[in-house]
Amino acid sequence: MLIFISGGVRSGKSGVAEQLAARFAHLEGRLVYAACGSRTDAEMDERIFYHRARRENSGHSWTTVEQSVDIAHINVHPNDTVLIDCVTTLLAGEYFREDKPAFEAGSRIVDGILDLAKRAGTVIAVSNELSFETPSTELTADYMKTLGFIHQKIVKESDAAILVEHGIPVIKKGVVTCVE
Amino acid sequence: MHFITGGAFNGKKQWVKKFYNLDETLHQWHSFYEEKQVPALMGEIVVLEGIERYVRILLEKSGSAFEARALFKKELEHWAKEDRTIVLIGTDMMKGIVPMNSFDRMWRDAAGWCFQNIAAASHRVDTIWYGIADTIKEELE
Repeated sequence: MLIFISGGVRSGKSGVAEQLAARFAHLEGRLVYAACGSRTDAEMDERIFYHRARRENSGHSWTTVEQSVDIAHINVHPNDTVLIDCVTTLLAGEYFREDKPAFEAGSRIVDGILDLAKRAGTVIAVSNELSFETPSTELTADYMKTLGFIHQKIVKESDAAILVEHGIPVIKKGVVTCVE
Repeated sequence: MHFITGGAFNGKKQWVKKFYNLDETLHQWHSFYEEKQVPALMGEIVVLEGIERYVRILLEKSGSAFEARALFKKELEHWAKEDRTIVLIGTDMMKGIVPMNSFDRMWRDAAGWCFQNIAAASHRVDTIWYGIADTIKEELE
């Protein structure tokens, strides 16, 4: 099963994703948290701290793996539930890595997530909403375009797609119950 | 008239092609990303893509968001009278932070106004979110 969850910054999308993951967790599988952001500065440390504290207090046991590129390289079992947090940081990793071309970053991510979804029980991919802004630099525009491409592909392949607005999950595709 | 909007790179064009089965249907496709002029309209289905670009072109011509909107409204009135299906595709760029550049601020204002006019004049309005349409207006003919 593949679920796509998107929302704005601080929209509560990670919280919704974690609750869903806990619900889909298989008795004989693990809850895997794939952290895709690289630790770059104090601000990032703080974000990581909040997210980590919430998982620790969730009453569920999470296995955390750090994976900022090659998302399919995560070692998963057929009963595992994997939460990918998030596609935008994964894109930054794939986009700026030096050993592979940036223009294929989008398809590498789509292929990786779909591959993971085949091997694991459930994959929940979290991403950030694309901005509704006047286009700025060419680099930003290209990054947005690639992110849009990934989102369209993942939504198409997903069993459910959810947009989180101010903590409220809006189901765009599929049937999911989001309350505890 | 049918208005399709949503954020950039959300699959608006693909949705229109599929919805109107354009691969197998005769139609006129005009992109304001490539062409600055409004074309002579032909055929039963006309798709005008990049409406926000067209607003920008009008803004460059007129110099104010107010004037650009007035020019756009005139054009829109012509389109509304046409006896054919007119599909307008415009990118929503009105939900970000205020642009630093004053021209971009005017462009955003003008586009927002023009989109309101289009939505009012259209019998159907869809917003596209990564290929999924949300019909926010639909008038029965």
